[in-house]
Amino acid sequence: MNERGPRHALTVNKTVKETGMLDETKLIVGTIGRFNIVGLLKVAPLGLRMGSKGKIGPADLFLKPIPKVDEVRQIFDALEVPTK
Amino acid sequence: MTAALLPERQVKDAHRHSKSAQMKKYGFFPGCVAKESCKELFNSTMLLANKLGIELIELTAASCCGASVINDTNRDIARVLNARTYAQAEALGLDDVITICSTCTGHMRAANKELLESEVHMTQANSILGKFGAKYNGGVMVRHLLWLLIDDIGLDNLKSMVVRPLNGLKVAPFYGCHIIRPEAVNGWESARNPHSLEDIIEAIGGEAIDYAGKTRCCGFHIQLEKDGTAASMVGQNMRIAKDKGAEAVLTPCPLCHLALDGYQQDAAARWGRTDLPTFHLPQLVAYALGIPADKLGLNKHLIDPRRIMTERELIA
Repeated sequence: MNERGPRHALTVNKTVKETGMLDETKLIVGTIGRFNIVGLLKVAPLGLRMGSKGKIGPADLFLKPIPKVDEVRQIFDALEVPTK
Repeated sequence: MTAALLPERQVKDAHRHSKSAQMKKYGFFPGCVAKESCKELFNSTMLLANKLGIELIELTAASCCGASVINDTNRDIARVLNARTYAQAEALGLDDVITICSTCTGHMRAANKELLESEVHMTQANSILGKFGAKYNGGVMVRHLLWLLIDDIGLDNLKSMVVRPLNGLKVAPFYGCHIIRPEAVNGWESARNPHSLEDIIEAIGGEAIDYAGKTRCCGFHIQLEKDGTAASMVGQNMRIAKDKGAEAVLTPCPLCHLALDGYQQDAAARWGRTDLPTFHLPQLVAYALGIPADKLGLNKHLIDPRRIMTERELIA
């Protein structure tokens, strides 16, 4: 899938299903594409600025799931429409 | 209909005084961004709540509201995720959930409206919630902290609590989209000509700047898809604010904050430098009520607000 819009949507759904919350770091990488070096380098300056200010840190790279996240996953499993 | 609120009251309930308000004890859903890249928003909110004498009980097991995306891609999932959050509030005896993110406010209220207006939707939600022993009875309302400040605290009361007025700091309110549009979902104030942020700014000693960009979109939701367009949206809005004399911006949405704080630099090539620092609503109110500035996370902003605060002799 080459379009950012659908990748963005799929990534949001994936991170919320996994952790219960929207994982901002995974969202950026998932939307732009983890092998899209040029795209990732383009957003890197903003990311570095945010990192230097402490807006994002190492803890934000490994988001802990919310309590009872299995309930969230049950909601997705019950209502998700399978994608090819 | 099992709901405690009749559908036509969904909009009127935006101004209804909840039982939570009477007890000064509210459910609190901070959202995702306030726990990740805008922790200063969460921290300043808790400090402000303490100052106001209200208790915000964080719904720690609540999930993302859908962030606009799940609401668009699978509305059923978004609705049930939010029904789960409301069920958690009800289980704690709370009928009022406060948010500090406009996106959460808009989408949570939309989900609640759908649940209250449709027996089918409510039954669907509860059939899934029932699998893990939860149930939503329709008795929760969702409001933004901005509305709590004006409806529950009151502008006159807020004004009387100010110990550090803003010395006429020229602040441009930035509403963005989700806290005002659509009126059928939010309905707390006019979407075309809101004034709540201006009222807050004036109450805490600032000068509210009126400008055309105050109700426009910040472009956050298309930042990763159309970054040039998103930056230009920020640049245009901030240019208009700057040209009207704004020295800072106040917003009730952390997504708008991220866009305005992060993209003015990128927009400068086309729109000229604006460098307007963007305050989160709780930060500026907490400052005016006497919370030390160094506790408010102002150092986290990409456009540092401390420069203009120093120039205006608000901080040393």
